[in-house]
Amino acid sequence: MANHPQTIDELRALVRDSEAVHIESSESSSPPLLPNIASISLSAFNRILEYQPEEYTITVETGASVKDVQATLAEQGQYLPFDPPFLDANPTIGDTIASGCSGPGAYRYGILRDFIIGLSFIDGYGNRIQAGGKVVKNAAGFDLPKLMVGSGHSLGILTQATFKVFPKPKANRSIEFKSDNLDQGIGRLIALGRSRFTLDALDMDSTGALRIELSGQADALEARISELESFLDSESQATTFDAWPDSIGLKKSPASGFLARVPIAPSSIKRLDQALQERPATRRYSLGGFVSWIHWTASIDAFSTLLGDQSLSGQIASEPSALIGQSNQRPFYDRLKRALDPQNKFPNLYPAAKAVGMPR
Amino acid sequence: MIPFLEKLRSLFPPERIYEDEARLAPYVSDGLTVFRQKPAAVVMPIDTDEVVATLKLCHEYEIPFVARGSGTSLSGGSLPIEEGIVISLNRLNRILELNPDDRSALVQPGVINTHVSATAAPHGLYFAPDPSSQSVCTIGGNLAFNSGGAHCLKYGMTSNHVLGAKVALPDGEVVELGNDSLENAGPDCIGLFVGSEGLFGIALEIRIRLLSIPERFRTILASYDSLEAAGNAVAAVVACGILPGAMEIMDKLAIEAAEAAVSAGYPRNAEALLIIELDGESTAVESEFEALSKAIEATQAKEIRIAQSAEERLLIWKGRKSAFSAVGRLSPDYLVQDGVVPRSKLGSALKEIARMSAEAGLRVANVFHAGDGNLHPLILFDGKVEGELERAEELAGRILRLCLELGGSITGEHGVGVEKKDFMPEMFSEDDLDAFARIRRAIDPQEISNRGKMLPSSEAPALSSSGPHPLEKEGIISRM
Repeated sequence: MANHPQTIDELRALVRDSEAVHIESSESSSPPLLPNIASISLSAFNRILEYQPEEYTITVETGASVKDVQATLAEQGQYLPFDPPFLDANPTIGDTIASGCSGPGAYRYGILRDFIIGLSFIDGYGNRIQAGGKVVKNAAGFDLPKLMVGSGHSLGILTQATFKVFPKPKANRSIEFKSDNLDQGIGRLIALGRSRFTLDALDMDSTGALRIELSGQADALEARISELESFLDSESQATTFDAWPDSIGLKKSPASGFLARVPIAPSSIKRLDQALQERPATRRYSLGGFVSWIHWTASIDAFSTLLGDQSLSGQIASEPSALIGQSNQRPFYDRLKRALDPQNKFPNLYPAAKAVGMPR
Repeated sequence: MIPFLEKLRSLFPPERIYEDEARLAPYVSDGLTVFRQKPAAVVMPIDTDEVVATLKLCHEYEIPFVARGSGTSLSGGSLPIEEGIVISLNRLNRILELNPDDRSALVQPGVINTHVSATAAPHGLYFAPDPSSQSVCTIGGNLAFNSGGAHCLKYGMTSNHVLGAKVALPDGEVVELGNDSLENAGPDCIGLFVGSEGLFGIALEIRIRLLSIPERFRTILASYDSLEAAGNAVAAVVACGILPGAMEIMDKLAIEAAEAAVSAGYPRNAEALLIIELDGESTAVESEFEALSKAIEATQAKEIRIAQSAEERLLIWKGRKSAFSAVGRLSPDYLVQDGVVPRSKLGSALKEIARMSAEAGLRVANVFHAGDGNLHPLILFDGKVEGELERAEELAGRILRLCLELGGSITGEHGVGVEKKDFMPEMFSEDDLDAFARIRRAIDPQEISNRGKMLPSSEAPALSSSGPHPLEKEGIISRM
């Protein structure tokens, strides 16, 4: 049975009085049934607390659904520029921050960590901590809002967040360029990234086909598409940006296997793709080639080893946000974990430490 | 201390360790000259091994250290610690890698901000963070204090442009944070490290993000009869759904000073000046420019000018970026604050600052990043007049409290440093500060890395005499 705290004080008490806590997400199948683990739903914390369009900021509780937040912003012609993904699963703001996921539209202005400017969370002592602020520019104190992106509620239970938002472009278009092969696709990805073009999204599949979204003042879009065509010396086709297989469509979690988010640099894509060619892996190179989404249907350990061999790290996109591959940040993370959650009440993102971190 | 110094001398040849008064003198303060403190020694490592060895030695003897680049901090962020040492990173000034295809560079901490853009320019790339001191300040300092600049509104601060770093923690352990991608896996540790004001150790190699140089700029200069009218124009631009690269306002005093200093061609009879810049793809910028022009024409501008060439654009920015040092010419001493208020509160904040300024009997000039509500009130005073420094400090404090009352922050881009740490308890709760302190001690149990900065309750240095920084006197750095 999940606990449904109604107030911050109830939530704090739950953390203080439990040996371990587990936060339910929109996707969590069944919470762990071990005794002494309090399963907590943040469904009561679902309000939009402050929204002044002229400030370009919005403050929400983390149990608020991403779709509701987006609808509120859209009424004022604004949006979350990091393009939160997996909307069909109806994630909450907290789910999105904890998993650290941004969508392909983040290519234009930046990912989630670039837009979160304030955060409240409950640490392992049951204290409520606020960091950052509500103004778009702020350099006071440690940047814990950024730290918590991708932290999977492992350093604290996220309760409230403030985001910077932007005006939504007036119009947009999606186009596709086929490529002869992956090499040509990578070349184009890199050329576009270095070019003068300002695109909203730039993704590539493992055949080298590029899907591009661009937006802005409606009257200029046609001319900008022609300029893109002459730059790439290729004809484009109109497309919907969503033309992906379900498993890497970023609309919902795949029905089976794991979907991993693997940060990468464009010049390393070829090597990774070669290593994945004979493996059970569907690939999507997003964010102009700076992140690969990989749907993997074999053992997670084998995948983790493969990434480690490439000096890459990844994070499982859905629960429990486990980290795989290379673990360079581990010594730093361990120190932070000791500071914020010394009794290991929250899960640990590094699988090997999980056994140590969970209660007997 | 003596056995420590003996061991330190064995790490560095005599020409790279300073212990005598004369050679220590340039290090006693940074861009915030009201604080001065002589360190026990200054060392100048030339490679990362020397940095790590120094940290291990400091850790062994519990000797506090301050890492320092060009010393342009406006919050006393690189102020030395008594009985501590300064690790000067200026000799670690190499750009180690430039990867145009991945739009990134790997640099040492002592690399000068503008050198990155100069090196990347032939590849059509640049480093976006543009603090006014960018011709002298270093990337290491930008990282430590999460520096901003005029173009933060659209492109973000330094932390939005640091992808990863190899860092030496205060006990000498070397850790890699982040990576060479725009994305992270797991908690954003590099995001936490950036802006930690040197409390977590020293960044040895920094992976920074480069952007494509915009194809087109459109820079508009509009003058107004009042600060309020200029503020309203900002609101009108925001309302028309366009995101400019920069939106800056200068008041009369700042305009006159900038004009006297660099002859930027600003209209002299204006009470306020608004600079708006669009950047991006030509076709898109031209289309935005039309919409922006309509919005600006509907405001009560006295005069609207549009930069007709790259030279005119640079001249507009030269005036803006020199404004602070220029205002400094009007007065023997000045203090600059960089509090932030919600954009919609800009008007009331400025009105209140003007009232407080009159009350204190001290002139205040205003130059600020209107787009993101980041104020830069410049308080003019004469340190030789008994009590003026204290009055200026008090006025500065009242302005910071005003920012907090209006829902803002005590610092937008200069950092807390030593200057504003006493205001931290007014912005953060006891629990917040306790969490900060626990994190600090988990990374640095001895609290030796840049001790005395950001977090309250750490020992405060004494106020001493004032005056421009030596670099500032020469016109090399300015405060913004």
